[in-house]
Order: sequence, then C-alpha cells, then structure tokens
Amino acid sequence: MNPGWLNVAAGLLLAPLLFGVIARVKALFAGRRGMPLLQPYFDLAKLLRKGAVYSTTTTAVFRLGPAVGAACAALTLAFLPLAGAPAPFGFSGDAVLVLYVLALGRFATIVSALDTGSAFEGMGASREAAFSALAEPALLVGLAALARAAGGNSLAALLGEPTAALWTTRPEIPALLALAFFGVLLAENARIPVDDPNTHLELTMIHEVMVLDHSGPDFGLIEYGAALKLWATGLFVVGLLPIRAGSVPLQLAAGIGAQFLLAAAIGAVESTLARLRLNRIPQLFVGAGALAALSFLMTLWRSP
Amino acid sequence: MTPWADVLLMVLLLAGLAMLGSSRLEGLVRWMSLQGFLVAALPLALHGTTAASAEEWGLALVTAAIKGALFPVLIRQALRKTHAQRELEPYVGPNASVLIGMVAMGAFFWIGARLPLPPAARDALAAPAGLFTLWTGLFLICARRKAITQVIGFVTLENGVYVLGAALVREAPGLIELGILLDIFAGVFIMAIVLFHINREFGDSDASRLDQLKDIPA
Repeated sequence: MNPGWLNVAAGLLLAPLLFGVIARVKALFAGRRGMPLLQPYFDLAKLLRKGAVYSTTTTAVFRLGPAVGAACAALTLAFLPLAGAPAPFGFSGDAVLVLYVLALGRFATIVSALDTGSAFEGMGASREAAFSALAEPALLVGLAALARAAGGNSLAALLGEPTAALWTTRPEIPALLALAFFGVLLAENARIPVDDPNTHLELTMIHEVMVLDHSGPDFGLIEYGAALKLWATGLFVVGLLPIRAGSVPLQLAAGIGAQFLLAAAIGAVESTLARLRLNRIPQLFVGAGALAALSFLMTLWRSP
Repeated sequence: MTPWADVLLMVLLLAGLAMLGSSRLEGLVRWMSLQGFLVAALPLALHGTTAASAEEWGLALVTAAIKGALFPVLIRQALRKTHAQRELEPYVGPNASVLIGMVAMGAFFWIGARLPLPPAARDALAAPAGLFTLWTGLFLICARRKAITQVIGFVTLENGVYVLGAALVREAPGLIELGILLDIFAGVFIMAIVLFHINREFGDSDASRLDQLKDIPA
C-alpha cells in the first residue's frame, strides 16, 4: 500500500481533534478547565444520529451543499503532503487543483446558503465570497514564489523536501510565506480575527450564518468538513516548516505533532486578539498578500 | 555583507508597507521608530561588525538614539498636544496605499537590479529597500492630510536616503553624518513646535486647509 494513505487516514481521523485542542487552549487562557478533548467527536456522533429538517423553500442544492463541502475538503487531503510525508497522489500543477477544489467546496456552501432565501444567510454568503476572493491572491502568489524558489510545481515539491532545504539557503522565503499562509488559514477557517466561530449574533457572523438552516447529519457533515479544511490549510503552513525526522513513521508523527502545535497557536491567537471590525478585515488579506508578494520579489531578486 | 543586512532590509521593507497600511498615528510612530533602529544598525550589518571602527559604532548609536528614540518622543508629544489620534480622511486609504506600495516595491526591485552600485550594496537589498523607504515617505507626505503624518513622512524619507547612503559609501566622514543628523533633528524639533502652534491657532492640523491661510481677511 502506498504509505501516503496513512497521511490521509490521519487527516480524516484526527481533524476534529484540532477543534478540541483549540478549545482547550482557549479555556486554558481564560482560566477554565474546558471541554473534553474528544467533545467534537461526541458532537459529530450526536448530530449524525439526529434527523434533518428541511425548509419547504429549499431545493436539492441545499441538501447537496454539506456533502460537496466535506467531500472537497477530504479530496484535498489526497494531494497534500504532511510535513514532507508524501501524499498518495501528485502531479505537476496539482497545487492549483487543490486550491480550486477547496474553492469548489466553498462555492457549494455559498450556493446552499443562498438556496434558503434567508436574508441573513445571503449576507453571510456574500461576505464569504468577498473575503475568499481576497485570500486567493495571497495563496497563489505565495505558491508561485515557492515554485520559483523550490523549483517544481507539484505540492510534493512545494510542501516537501525542496522547501525544507530552502531554510538553509534562503530562510526568508519560507518564513515570510509561513506568516502569510497562517493569516490565510485564519481567514479561510473563519477564526478570530476574521470571524468568531462562537458568536451568537447573526449580524457579525460570516461562516456560521451561512449554515444556520442545516440540521442533523447535514450540520454534522459541515462541522466535519470544516475540521478537514482546517487540517488541509494547516498542511500548507506545516509543509513550509523544516520538520525532518528520519523514517516515514517518525515523519508522520512529527507532522501530526506540528499540526496540533499549529492548532494550539490558533487557540493562542484567538485568546489574545479581538475580532476585527468587518471593514478592517481586508487589511489582514492585504497584509498576507504583501508578505507573499515580497517573498516573490525576493525570488526574482536573487535567483536561488 | 553579512546575512543580517538582508534581514534588516527586509524588515525595513515590511515596516514601510505597514506604515502605508496603518491608519492610527500611534502605530505609524511605532513603525517609524523601528525604522530608525533598523537604519542605524544597517551600516554595521552591511560592512561587518568586526571591521567596524569606534567611529562607526558611535555613529550607529547616535543615529539609533535620535531616529529610534528621540524623534518618536518628540512626535508623540506633538500628538498628545494636538489631540490627533488617527488619520481620518486620507486622500488615499490604507488598503489602496498598500496595494500601490506593492506595485512601487516591484518597480524598485526592478530598478535596483539595474543600478550601477558597488558590489557589497548590489548583493544586499539596499537599493530597493532604500528607494522604497524614500518613496514611502514621499507618498505619506502627499496622500495624508494631517500635518503630523507629513512630519513622519519626512523622517521616513530621510531614512530611505540614509539607507542608500550607507550602501553607497563605505565610510562617510563622521562629521558630515553628524551634521546631517543635527539638521534633521532641528527640522523635526521645529516642525513639532510649528504643529502645536498651528493646532492652537486653528483648532486642527489638517494640511489641506493650510493653503487657505491669509494674513488679514479682506
């Protein structure tokens, strides 16, 4: 069996645990004990046992949304190496495919939100579309810089050995990109400072307001899809870091450890920052884009 | 050139972008202060600390003290006196400024690669970083309304000139450098005082209205 499948299995099994870790870190910062680490799994099990309620105004688009969203997020795991541990699939240019598969999942969520005809959900959908359009250039320019510096345009090269080798020759490029990708990760996964996943006020929500009408197993799929997406975007950041262990199993363990450290970092960011005012959010994307653009210029300035 | 030069210059570039993107004056002053420390350390990083003479060390310390510490103190004082906190209606908003800045940065990288510079400076990012910092200062002067932002822009512009100077000349006579520093210090000092008086006289320091000043209303 291709050892890359281990990597996919780890993602599929452990992704919800990231939410547990984030919640625990936030509780720690607030001086509480926090929920059990496995709570996201209990929530998923509970949601999958429930029945779903569908509004009479919705159509098949609404029912398709959660499934497509979760499937797209799961599909990207098959292409993303886990901190150097190779993925089962890969070809030249698969980075673009992965970005647009993620975008397809987002499109499915947006369309199913619009399908409900609810004013709140339409508002959330429009915000999601606007902000993801701003996040995309930062990711693409960043990947272009990596492709130039690491030489190669498959994800196996971009988030694998050649990029890790850059830390000894051109450390500034992966360092800048790790910062930029971390900003994009916060935005793509609806975390503070872009969106507050725990807010209860529809007017300020972005992601959560789009899924208000989903219930039962559908909502479970959405939660699971969100966890997979967090795992997948985390792989973009972790893949830039020079994590190298000798053998394949050790590498896998190190990569998984890095993913959870990243989740802890997200928890720390969420505990120390306030949510940005909605009209100031584009500044975060502009900042991430600027970091990516600077690293791209650096690759042009001194060809590696 | 030491590897530190690259790090310093890259942080300098990022500080310039951050200045373009910040709408709070307090944040702007903080970035300006960081730039002051960066440019002060730059000559040492470019030419190596082991070969540095006592004069170079002294100059770096004086530059850091004036650009990194004294200017921010003066400008913060002016901020407090004029009760200015943020740039309310700039001619070009923060996001647009950063986008324009990114385009400009690309252009300066292109120009910087084509300038005939001494080898030590050509390797480092000194030319693009210096030109970009200089441009950032000019842009802040043109695109913001508050008189205080224009003082900050002036200091930033001078930082850019200093970077270019440090890259071009191995060792400028210390006396000349000190003279330049004294000039700028006097300039910022006077501007801070003038700002305070403008503010007291007219109730705000919006530079776009200064063209309407007249001696005696007709």
